[in-house]
Amino acid sequence: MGCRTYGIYGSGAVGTDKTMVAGVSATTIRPGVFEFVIGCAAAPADAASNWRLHRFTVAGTSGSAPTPEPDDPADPASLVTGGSGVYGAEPTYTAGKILFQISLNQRQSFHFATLIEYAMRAPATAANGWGLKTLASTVTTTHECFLKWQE
Amino acid sequence: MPDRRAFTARKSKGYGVIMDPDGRNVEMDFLQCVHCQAVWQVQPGSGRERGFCMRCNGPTCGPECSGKCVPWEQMLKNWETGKPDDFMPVQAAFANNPITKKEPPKIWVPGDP
Repeated sequence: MGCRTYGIYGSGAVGTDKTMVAGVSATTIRPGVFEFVIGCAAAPADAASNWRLHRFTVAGTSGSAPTPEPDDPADPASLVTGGSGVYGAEPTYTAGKILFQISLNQRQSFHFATLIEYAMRAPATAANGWGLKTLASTVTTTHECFLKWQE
Repeated sequence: MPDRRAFTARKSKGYGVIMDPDGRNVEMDFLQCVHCQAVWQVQPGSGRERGFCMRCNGPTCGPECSGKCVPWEQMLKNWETGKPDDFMPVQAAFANNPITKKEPPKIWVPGDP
Protein backbone atom coordinates (compact mmCIF):
# COMPACT_ATOMS: atom_id res chain seq x y z
CA MET A 1 0.00 0.00 0.00
CA GLY A 2 1.36 3.33 -0.94
CA CYS A 3 1.26 6.38 1.25
CA ARG A 4 -1.69 8.23 -0.20
CA THR A 5 -2.80 11.27 1.73
CA TYR A 6 -5.98 13.27 1.34
CA GLY A 7 -7.66 16.22 2.95
CA ILE A 8 -11.09 17.77 3.26
CA TYR A 9 -12.29 21.13 4.40
CA GLY A 10 -15.48 21.54 6.35
CA SER A 11 -17.30 24.26 8.19
CA GLY A 12 -20.37 24.66 10.28
CA ALA A 13 -21.99 26.38 13.22
CA VAL A 14 -20.56 25.19 16.51
CA GLY A 15 -22.81 24.14 19.34
CA THR A 16 -23.73 21.13 21.41
CA ASP A 17 -22.68 17.94 19.63
CA LYS A 18 -22.17 19.52 16.22
CA THR A 19 -19.98 17.70 13.71
CA MET A 20 -17.86 20.02 11.60
CA VAL A 21 -16.10 17.52 9.39
CA ALA A 22 -15.97 13.74 9.26
CA GLY A 23 -14.35 10.91 7.35
CA VAL A 24 -16.13 7.62 6.76
CA SER A 25 -13.96 4.55 6.27
CA ALA A 26 -14.40 1.77 3.71
CA THR A 27 -14.12 -2.00 3.96
CA THR A 28 -10.81 -2.14 2.11
CA ILE A 29 -8.71 0.40 4.00
CA ARG A 30 -7.78 1.57 7.48
CA PRO A 31 -7.48 5.32 7.06
CA GLY A 32 -5.61 7.29 9.69
CA VAL A 33 -5.91 10.94 10.67
CA PHE A 34 -2.52 12.58 11.02
CA GLU A 35 -3.29 16.28 10.82
CA PHE A 36 -6.12 18.70 11.42
CA VAL A 37 -6.68 22.42 11.78
CA ILE A 38 -9.42 24.28 13.64
CA GLY A 39 -10.13 27.96 13.16
CA CYS A 40 -12.75 30.63 12.86
CA ALA A 41 -13.00 33.27 10.13
CA ALA A 42 -15.75 35.27 11.83
CA ALA A 43 -15.19 38.59 13.54
CA PRO A 44 -12.99 38.05 16.60
CA ALA A 45 -15.00 37.52 19.75
CA ASP A 46 -14.49 35.94 23.10
CA ALA A 47 -16.24 32.62 22.95
CA ALA A 48 -15.23 29.12 23.91
CA SER A 49 -15.77 25.78 22.23
CA ASN A 50 -14.83 22.30 23.31
CA TRP A 51 -13.57 20.22 20.40
CA ARG A 52 -13.28 16.49 20.03
CA LEU A 53 -12.00 14.04 17.49
CA HIS A 54 -14.28 11.10 18.12
CA ARG A 55 -14.82 7.65 16.63
CA PHE A 56 -18.24 6.76 15.28
CA THR A 57 -19.91 3.58 14.09
CA VAL A 58 -22.83 5.10 12.18
CA ALA A 59 -21.97 7.84 9.72
CA GLY A 60 -25.15 9.90 10.08
CA THR A 61 -26.49 12.21 7.37
CA SER A 62 -24.13 15.00 6.44
CA GLY A 63 -25.26 18.28 4.94
CA SER A 64 -22.62 18.05 2.24
CA ALA A 65 -20.08 15.54 1.04
CA PRO A 66 -16.83 17.36 0.22
CA THR A 67 -14.63 15.49 -2.21
CA PRO A 68 -11.33 14.53 -0.56
CA GLU A 69 -8.42 16.20 -2.30
CA PRO A 70 -5.29 14.08 -2.79
CA ASP A 71 -1.98 15.66 -1.85
CA ASP A 72 -0.47 14.05 -4.93
CA PRO A 73 -2.60 14.87 -7.99
CA ALA A 74 -1.59 11.53 -9.52
CA ASP A 75 -3.25 9.57 -6.71
CA PRO A 76 -6.60 7.91 -7.27
CA ALA A 77 -9.75 9.18 -5.64
CA SER A 78 -10.01 8.62 -1.93
CA LEU A 79 -11.93 5.64 -0.63
CA VAL A 80 -12.92 7.66 2.42
CA THR A 81 -16.20 9.54 2.18
CA GLY A 82 -16.10 13.08 3.52
CA GLY A 83 -18.90 14.70 5.45
CA SER A 84 -19.53 18.28 6.46
CA GLY A 85 -22.20 20.97 6.67
CA VAL A 86 -25.36 20.85 8.71
CA TYR A 87 -25.95 17.26 9.68
CA GLY A 88 -29.52 15.97 9.35
CA ALA A 89 -28.58 13.15 11.69
CA GLU A 90 -25.38 13.32 13.67
CA PRO A 91 -23.03 10.34 13.50
CA THR A 92 -23.39 7.82 16.30
CA TYR A 93 -20.24 8.42 18.30
CA THR A 94 -18.89 5.59 20.43
CA ALA A 95 -18.82 6.42 24.11
CA GLY A 96 -15.29 6.57 25.43
CA LYS A 97 -13.62 6.40 22.01
CA ILE A 98 -12.38 9.98 22.10
CA LEU A 99 -9.16 10.41 20.17
CA PHE A 100 -8.49 14.04 20.98
CA GLN A 101 -10.03 16.85 22.97
CA ILE A 102 -9.26 20.54 23.44
CA SER A 103 -11.06 23.73 24.42
CA LEU A 104 -10.35 26.79 22.32
CA ASN A 105 -11.21 30.45 22.27
CA GLN A 106 -12.81 31.66 19.05
CA ARG A 107 -9.85 33.99 18.51
CA GLN A 108 -7.45 31.07 18.48
CA SER A 109 -6.54 28.60 15.77
CA PHE A 110 -5.27 25.14 16.49
CA HIS A 111 -3.06 22.89 14.39
CA PHE A 112 -2.28 19.27 15.22
CA ALA A 113 0.15 17.12 13.30
CA THR A 114 1.79 13.77 13.79
CA LEU A 115 3.76 11.28 11.79
CA ILE A 116 1.78 8.91 9.59
CA GLU A 117 2.85 5.89 11.64
CA TYR A 118 1.08 7.43 14.64
CA ALA A 119 -2.06 8.33 12.68
CA MET A 120 -5.34 7.56 14.42
CA ARG A 121 -6.77 4.67 12.42
CA ALA A 122 -10.37 3.86 11.67
CA PRO A 123 -11.32 0.19 11.16
CA ALA A 124 -11.91 -1.21 7.68
CA THR A 125 -15.62 -1.27 8.34
CA ALA A 126 -18.32 0.57 6.44
CA ALA A 127 -19.89 3.59 8.16
CA ASN A 128 -17.10 3.69 10.77
CA GLY A 129 -14.79 6.66 10.97
CA TRP A 130 -13.88 9.79 12.87
CA GLY A 131 -15.57 13.13 13.23
CA LEU A 132 -14.23 16.48 14.36
CA LYS A 133 -17.02 17.99 16.40
CA THR A 134 -17.84 20.47 19.13
CA LEU A 135 -19.11 18.97 22.32
CA ALA A 136 -20.23 22.34 23.65
CA SER A 137 -19.89 26.00 22.76
CA THR A 138 -20.93 29.37 24.10
CA VAL A 139 -21.83 30.60 20.61
CA THR A 140 -23.16 29.29 17.30
CA THR A 141 -20.58 31.00 15.09
CA THR A 142 -19.40 29.20 11.99
CA HIS A 143 -15.98 27.62 12.40
CA GLU A 144 -13.71 26.05 9.80
CA CYS A 145 -11.84 22.76 9.99
CA PHE A 146 -9.39 20.90 7.83
CA LEU A 147 -8.80 17.17 8.21
CA LYS A 148 -6.03 15.11 6.62
CA TRP A 149 -5.61 11.37 6.57
CA GLN A 150 -3.59 8.60 5.01
CA GLU A 151 -5.07 5.50 3.45
CA MET B 1 0.84 24.13 39.20
CA PRO B 2 0.87 22.84 35.61
CA ASP B 3 4.11 23.28 33.74
CA ARG B 4 3.45 24.94 30.38
CA ARG B 5 6.83 24.43 28.82
CA ALA B 6 6.75 24.15 25.05
CA PHE B 7 8.46 20.77 24.75
CA THR B 8 7.61 18.29 27.41
CA ALA B 9 8.14 14.82 25.93
CA ARG B 10 11.34 13.22 24.71
CA LYS B 11 9.50 10.89 22.34
CA SER B 12 6.34 12.75 21.52
CA LYS B 13 3.78 11.23 19.17
CA GLY B 14 2.31 14.49 18.00
CA TYR B 15 2.72 18.23 17.95
CA GLY B 16 0.11 20.91 18.40
CA VAL B 17 0.16 24.66 18.39
CA ILE B 18 -2.49 27.16 19.46
CA MET B 19 -2.12 30.39 17.53
CA ASP B 20 -3.32 33.47 19.36
CA PRO B 21 -4.21 36.65 17.47
CA ASP B 22 -1.68 38.54 19.58
CA GLY B 23 1.08 36.51 17.96
CA ARG B 24 1.79 34.33 20.97
CA ASN B 25 1.92 30.68 20.01
CA VAL B 26 1.37 27.96 22.58
CA GLU B 27 3.20 24.81 21.53
CA MET B 28 2.50 21.43 23.03
CA ASP B 29 3.66 17.87 22.72
CA PHE B 30 1.29 14.94 22.59
CA LEU B 31 1.60 11.33 23.61
CA GLN B 32 -0.51 8.54 22.18
CA CYS B 33 -2.18 5.62 23.93
CA VAL B 34 -0.87 2.30 22.65
CA HIS B 35 -4.26 0.69 23.27
CA CYS B 36 -6.86 3.16 21.94
CA GLN B 37 -4.74 5.60 19.89
CA ALA B 38 -6.05 8.63 21.76
CA VAL B 39 -3.62 11.53 21.99
CA TRP B 40 -3.22 13.94 24.88
CA GLN B 41 -1.20 16.98 25.70
CA VAL B 42 1.81 16.31 27.87
CA GLN B 43 1.37 18.57 30.86
CA PRO B 44 3.57 17.82 33.84
CA GLY B 45 1.74 18.45 37.08
CA SER B 46 -1.73 18.20 35.54
CA GLY B 47 -2.67 15.52 38.04
CA ARG B 48 -4.14 13.26 35.36
CA GLU B 49 -3.43 9.59 35.91
CA ARG B 50 -1.77 7.93 32.93
CA GLY B 51 -0.23 4.51 32.56
CA PHE B 52 2.44 2.52 30.78
CA CYS B 53 1.97 -0.88 29.13
CA MET B 54 5.04 -3.04 29.66
CA ARG B 55 3.88 -5.39 26.88
CA CYS B 56 3.38 -2.71 24.23
CA ASN B 57 6.21 -0.62 25.65
CA GLY B 58 4.25 2.59 25.46
CA PRO B 59 2.00 4.95 27.42
CA THR B 60 -1.71 4.44 28.02
CA CYS B 61 -4.20 7.25 28.30
CA GLY B 62 -5.70 6.41 31.67
CA PRO B 63 -7.12 3.78 33.97
CA GLU B 64 -9.65 2.68 31.32
CA CYS B 65 -6.84 1.58 29.00
CA SER B 66 -4.42 0.36 31.65
CA GLY B 67 -6.19 -2.92 32.42
CA LYS B 68 -6.07 -5.71 29.88
CA CYS B 69 -3.50 -5.21 27.13
CA VAL B 70 -5.21 -5.05 23.75
CA PRO B 71 -2.93 -3.31 21.23
CA TRP B 72 -4.68 -0.94 18.88
CA GLU B 73 -4.06 -3.20 15.87
CA GLN B 74 -5.94 -5.98 17.66
CA MET B 75 -8.66 -3.53 18.68
CA LEU B 76 -9.26 -2.56 15.06
CA LYS B 77 -9.32 -6.24 14.09
CA ASN B 78 -11.87 -6.91 16.83
CA TRP B 79 -14.14 -4.18 15.51
CA GLU B 80 -13.78 -5.39 11.95
CA THR B 81 -14.66 -8.98 12.89
CA GLY B 82 -17.39 -8.13 15.38
CA LYS B 83 -15.53 -9.42 18.42
CA PRO B 84 -15.60 -7.76 21.85
CA ASP B 85 -13.28 -4.80 22.30
CA ASP B 86 -11.06 -6.66 24.77
CA PHE B 87 -10.75 -9.90 22.78
CA MET B 88 -7.21 -11.24 22.54
CA PRO B 89 -6.41 -14.47 20.70
CA VAL B 90 -4.72 -17.13 22.78
CA GLN B 91 -1.23 -17.94 21.62
CA ALA B 92 0.66 -20.95 22.91
CA ALA B 93 3.79 -22.83 21.96
CA PHE B 94 4.51 -26.52 22.62
CA ALA B 95 8.14 -27.43 22.61
CA ASN B 96 7.69 -31.11 21.65
CA ASN B 97 4.66 -30.84 19.42
CA PRO B 98 5.11 -33.75 16.93
CA ILE B 99 3.07 -31.94 14.31
CA THR B 100 5.27 -28.89 14.20
CA LYS B 101 8.48 -30.65 15.15
CA LYS B 102 10.90 -30.29 12.31
CA GLU B 103 13.24 -32.97 11.04
CA PRO B 104 16.91 -32.07 11.31
CA PRO B 105 18.27 -30.81 8.03
CA LYS B 106 19.74 -33.52 5.80
CA ILE B 107 23.12 -32.76 4.32
CA TRP B 108 23.89 -34.53 1.11
CA VAL B 109 27.46 -35.62 0.61
CA PRO B 110 28.92 -37.06 -2.57
CA GLY B 111 28.50 -40.79 -2.66
CA ASP B 112 25.23 -40.88 -0.75
CA PRO B 113 22.18 -42.23 -2.56
